[in-house]
Amino acid sequence: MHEQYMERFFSGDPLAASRLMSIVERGAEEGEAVLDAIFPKVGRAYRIGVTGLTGAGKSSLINKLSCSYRREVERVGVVAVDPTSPFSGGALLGDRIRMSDARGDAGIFIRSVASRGSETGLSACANELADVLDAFGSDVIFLETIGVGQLEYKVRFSVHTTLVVLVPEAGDDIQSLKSGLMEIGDVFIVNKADRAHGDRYADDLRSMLELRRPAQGWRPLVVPTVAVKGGGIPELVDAIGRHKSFLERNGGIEQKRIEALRNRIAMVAEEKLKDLFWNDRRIAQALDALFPEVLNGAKSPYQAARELVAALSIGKQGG
Amino acid sequence: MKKPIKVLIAKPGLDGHDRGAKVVANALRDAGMEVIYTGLHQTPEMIVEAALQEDVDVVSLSILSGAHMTLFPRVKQLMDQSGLGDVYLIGGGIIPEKDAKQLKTMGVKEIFGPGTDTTAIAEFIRGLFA
Repeated sequence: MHEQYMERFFSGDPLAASRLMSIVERGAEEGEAVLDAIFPKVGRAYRIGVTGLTGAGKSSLINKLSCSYRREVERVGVVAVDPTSPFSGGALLGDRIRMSDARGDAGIFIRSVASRGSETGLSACANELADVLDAFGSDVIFLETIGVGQLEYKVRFSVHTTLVVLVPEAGDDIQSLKSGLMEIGDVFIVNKADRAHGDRYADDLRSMLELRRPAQGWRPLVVPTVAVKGGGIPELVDAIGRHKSFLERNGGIEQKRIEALRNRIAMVAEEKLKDLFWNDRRIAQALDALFPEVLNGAKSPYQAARELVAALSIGKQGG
Repeated sequence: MKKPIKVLIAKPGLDGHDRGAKVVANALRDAGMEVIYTGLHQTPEMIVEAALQEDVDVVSLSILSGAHMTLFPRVKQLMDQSGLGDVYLIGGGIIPEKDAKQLKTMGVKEIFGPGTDTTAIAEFIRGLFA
């Protein structure tokens, strides 16, 4: 099914790109065949992760940033993730609403995707969709996470620069944020900085970041913005550029590539292992046999899990 | 992995009333679909561009301005030109029966008027892919 789109994709047809992304979203062998085919073309784009509090203005910032980058480059890609409802399995993808400036420009390819049960703050396939946009010739790609959470930090494995978006009212949350988000940002954005105490919050953030030893020699920058009015956008573009040059000077681009690829292999292999495990008849049988014993208290869940894993090798020996 | 049905809900033109669009968006989400809402004041070009980039299965226009006889055919025409002839176009709003009938002969799959039960809309969409 994907073969019909490959040639059109490589000659720059956006419909082919869009249809291939859907095939990738569906996963399975067909989806992987697409990823295999495009892989030689993946790796040219500069990837920027955008994470932060829900309602902090991630989509609005991407709207302004992508328009700003478009003055310099031919193609900008956006992958925006919104949460899937755990109740209905449906999702309301509203990031496009905030991207009003970017929407009219065919050089900006925006793709919304639902998280579909992924725990990484990205969709299970957000990185893969970014790969398609990368192979399609995007110069810059934005990956927008759902919101904030302890797991959002994983975005940093797949991007060059991580932007963490905060708002002045987040002051009280700094304590809760510092364990996770505060460690992953290359650039911190204080959006809605025209609100009360915006400057003060940016200063506090700077002095807090100064207390920390810079990771790999990079001291995170803090940029106040007012995204809906475009305030601070040139400064933000400059800050991203400074991080990019830093990475280029220190071999960081190649280092990120190595990390991202290693991480990707591990993640995909783990998924496959999980599928193998749960689709194995021996596991289903062993679980059926073990579960009543756990229920009546004869075995602990840990004992059962050990025996479940052991069932794989026993079955193999038996033929 | 089974992919949920993906629906674009768009508000074309100058009409600024999107309560209906939002109610339908929520209902379809609750029916297990992935819904993209574009926001207000979209041109037909923007709507079709969004449908193309998002590779949706259904485009749904909400029109309460009376401009439906212009907007539906224009969106349908642009969809066909962009290779989206296989994507369903439906809609709702204040649209007289006579106009709805005519729109359906022009390639609009269904028109839902005021008072339609939202579950009926979800069922209709699901029926398209059954």
